[in-house]
Amino acid sequence: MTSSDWGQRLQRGRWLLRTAAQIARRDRRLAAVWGQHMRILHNEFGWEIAVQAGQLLARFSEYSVAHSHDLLSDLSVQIAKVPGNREQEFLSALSAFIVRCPESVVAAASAFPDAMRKLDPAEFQTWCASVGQGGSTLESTSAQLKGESEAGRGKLREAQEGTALQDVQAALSHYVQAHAGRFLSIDAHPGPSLGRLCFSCDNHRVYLPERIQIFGDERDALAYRVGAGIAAGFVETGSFDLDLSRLGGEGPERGQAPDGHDDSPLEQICARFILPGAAQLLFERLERVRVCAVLSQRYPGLGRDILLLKVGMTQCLGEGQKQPTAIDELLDQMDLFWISGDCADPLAQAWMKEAERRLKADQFVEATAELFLELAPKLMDLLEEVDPVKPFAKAEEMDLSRRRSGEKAVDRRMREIHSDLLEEDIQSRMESIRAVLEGRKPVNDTEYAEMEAFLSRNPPPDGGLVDQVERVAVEHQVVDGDEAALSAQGGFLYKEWDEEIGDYRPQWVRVVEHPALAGNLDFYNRTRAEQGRHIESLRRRFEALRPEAFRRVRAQLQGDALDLDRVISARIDHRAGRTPDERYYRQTRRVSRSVAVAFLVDLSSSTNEPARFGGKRIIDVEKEALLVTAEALDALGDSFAIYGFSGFSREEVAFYTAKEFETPYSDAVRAKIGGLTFKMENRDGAAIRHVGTKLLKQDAQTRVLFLLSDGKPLDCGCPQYKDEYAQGDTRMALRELRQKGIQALCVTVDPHGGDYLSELYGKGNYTVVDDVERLPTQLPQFYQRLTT
Amino acid sequence: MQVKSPTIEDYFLKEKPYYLPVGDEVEVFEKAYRRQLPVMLAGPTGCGKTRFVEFMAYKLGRPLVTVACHEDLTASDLMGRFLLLGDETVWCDGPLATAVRHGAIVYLDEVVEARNDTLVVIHPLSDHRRTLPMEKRGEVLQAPPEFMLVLSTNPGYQSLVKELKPSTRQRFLWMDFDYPPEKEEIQILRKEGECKKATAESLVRIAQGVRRLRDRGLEEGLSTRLLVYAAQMMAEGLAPTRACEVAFVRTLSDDLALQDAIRALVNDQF
Repeated sequence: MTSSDWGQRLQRGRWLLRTAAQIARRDRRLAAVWGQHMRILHNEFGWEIAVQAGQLLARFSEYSVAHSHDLLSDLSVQIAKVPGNREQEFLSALSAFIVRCPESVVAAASAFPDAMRKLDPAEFQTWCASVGQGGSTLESTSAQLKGESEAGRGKLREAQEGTALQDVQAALSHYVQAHAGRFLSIDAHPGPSLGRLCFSCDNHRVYLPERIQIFGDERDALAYRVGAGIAAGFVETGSFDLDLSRLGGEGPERGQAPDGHDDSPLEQICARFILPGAAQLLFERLERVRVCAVLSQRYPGLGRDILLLKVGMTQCLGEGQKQPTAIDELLDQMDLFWISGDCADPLAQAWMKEAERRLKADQFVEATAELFLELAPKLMDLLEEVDPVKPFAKAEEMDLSRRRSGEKAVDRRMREIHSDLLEEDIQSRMESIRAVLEGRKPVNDTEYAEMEAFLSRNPPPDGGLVDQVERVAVEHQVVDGDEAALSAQGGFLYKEWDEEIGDYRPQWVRVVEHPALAGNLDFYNRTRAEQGRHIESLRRRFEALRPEAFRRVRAQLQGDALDLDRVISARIDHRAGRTPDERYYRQTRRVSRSVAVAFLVDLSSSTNEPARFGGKRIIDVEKEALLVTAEALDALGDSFAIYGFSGFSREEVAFYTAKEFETPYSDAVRAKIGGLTFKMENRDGAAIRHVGTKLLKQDAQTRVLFLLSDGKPLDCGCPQYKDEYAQGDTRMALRELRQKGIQALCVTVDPHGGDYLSELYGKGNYTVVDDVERLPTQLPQFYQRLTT
Repeated sequence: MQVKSPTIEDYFLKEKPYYLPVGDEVEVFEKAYRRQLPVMLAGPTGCGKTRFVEFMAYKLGRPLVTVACHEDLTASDLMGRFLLLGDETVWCDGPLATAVRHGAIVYLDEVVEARNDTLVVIHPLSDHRRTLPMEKRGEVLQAPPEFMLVLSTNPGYQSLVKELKPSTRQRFLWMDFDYPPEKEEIQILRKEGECKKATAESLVRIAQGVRRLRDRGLEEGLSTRLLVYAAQMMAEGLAPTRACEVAFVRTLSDDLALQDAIRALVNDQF
């Protein structure tokens, strides 16, 4: 070690000691933890970053020791998330934040990396300066940072240039359905956020770039429309309906699909080549020519706008990076030709010209497949000409990133649910199960069944626990279908319809009522802050619907005023020698709206998923919608109740009461709505029947059940409660309600709801809210439309 | 002073209304007419129910008495009332009584909007009795064979508190109406909207897209009537996108995202 190294170490040591001492003056323990974290930061990010972070922590400790602990434990994780060597920028922004709003620094630290991914340095700076300005409260600043409030999202958008997918997603979602004729979800393209042609479709999803910045004006939104139109055009013009048996040529190689394939026809013909990913990209490029030809013929305006987009894209085409492989290069050149009508590569040019010649608007996807089968082997030939180390970088990378994005949607959410959110819950459940097994806690049969189910879903690290439960369960003789055991447990027993046997299973499901946990008013206050204006206007609108307390009724035998029309006609009758109708008085009478409505919320675990990428969870939006509607109904004066349901297996359908009809709407109720949280399954039939009995007790002319749902009825705690069985039972439960004069309505956020709800609820009695975050606006509208 | 009330002559259609049959509706209606059975037409607004009835009335050579139902419609609004004329009392027939007397076709539009206690007056008219008892005049009108009762309703969009009682509902033959198929709708637009074939095709394509958005917050699909309006505005020289904007983009929904989507569909064509 040289002397300069020693000098440096000494200097660093001094700085560390000095800073630690400074922190220790406030809190000794904090200083010790700080020391440990400095080591981690140094090891992971190097000395410079560590010093900057260390200084920041030291400064922050002057504001709050308690929060410093939080920040300390979180900081290295967050720095690791910062994209592309922008750690210093992150730390400077954070230390500027300490001065401005010290109480939100912890929230800022966890929000910044995400924002940095979306914003370039200049945009990020603008955004940082705008967050928390102008009298924001602690809650609102934190919501802004996390992008959980409209204001927060708006600020992020303002900081960015171009048009963001989020801004146009709701309209595009409608647009895409109008084209494709069915629901296609819209996702951000996994590729580079601003490339050339980042719009594609895989038969279920339409991929669009997160942001488009081609023109820098409103035409960027038009680019989104064109991209979405072309992507949905693949579905609309039948690209995915490729029929292999209709391909020309001879032999199974060209025509018939090999047996036992679950893959789509497109995947099958691509799988014949050594690089299926690249083959698929080639197919996509050829097919795009056909799709655009069909679209341009069918939609002249769209055809014009495709050209406009191409011109815009040509202008912002740069030099074009050198592609790593000949295949990538060729595919890229084909794109280039599509956009600008010209490209350097003669092969790409020839292929695209051939595509344009052959794939006209009157052709079907099979024509594309024919051409593809001619060209794909030539594409594969290029493989030999390239560097063997990185043979098919882009195409295969694309495959991977798509797969990853597929995982993003489902698996990752599941993982998150299980790791983050349920971890504590699982721990405590495991603990109580352990207590039972060791004989420390008494337990009944239902609890055993539930324990068993719980363990099968969450296998503990030590497998022994499961065996132990099984053993004890056998001892307890928990027999599925034991009616005596069921009714002995209390709760309400309901029959269930079995579509297969065509009969009811009597006393089959037990509904157990639980009071909803009283959360606190945080959720309400947040909703109030976000939706305040909406709530006020709704209240006013619903107050106007409130029938006047007094109403004049005509044609009475007695009353406080004469009804002139009737007096005249009585007089006429009298003169004409007939017995006049003596009911010629008017009376002022008190009238009321006679509506009782029960809201039933599906609290199944799927409601824990975010409503759309980067958005709020479904359950939170449902709760917001409930709060907003409750405020409106309170103003209207309709009698209402709010229930949630979930549960697991037929032995316990848990039924949570946030508000009974009799309970006045108060802060206690608001807190309970705020306290509703996702649970397990949704066995709709039993819950609907239970609400039905409650509604029947209400003395009202119109009785309505409103179900807020996020998907089909399903109970994984019971193998048969799914698909036809579950829907059959729900349909019967609803029919029973209708027979008793109760109307049932459903509002769902399941985009596929239209497929099965019309059969269950009847035309006009359900609505599919595709942009979930609009639920708070749409639920009261739907209510008003159907009950006034 | 003379009481002026419309005579039955006023209810005859002077010109043949344009209607393009899309199925067997004409045949069904004629058979019902011959058998003296009342008919309920169900379908979304603007799909041609009213036009169909006008067409049939003209075809069968009967006067057509139309009543738009509303909440404050009373039985005497339908049957008639005594009016004072100087020292005299004069009976004035309501539209229903007029129709029964002269064997007209009576068309109660949007029948669910009327209160159930009003609707009971049509019960004896709608079964084998075919009578209209008029208590005030001490008279029971017997409907002639030419008299026909036609009701319309829009099941896709109605309030729960306004539902037709089964006792009313079960008195009618039920004829479902929907928007016409592509080819027919284009033909209708060309005739009614006086537009070129290409324009008509474009409008129909827009409508097809919009109609796929039912269940997504659109209470009703885009009606043929609104398409005709758009075509007519274009025929008057309004730019196509503007004509669509005023004819249906703003009309169909207050939801901004839906409006944007519909606008995008319009831009796909024009």
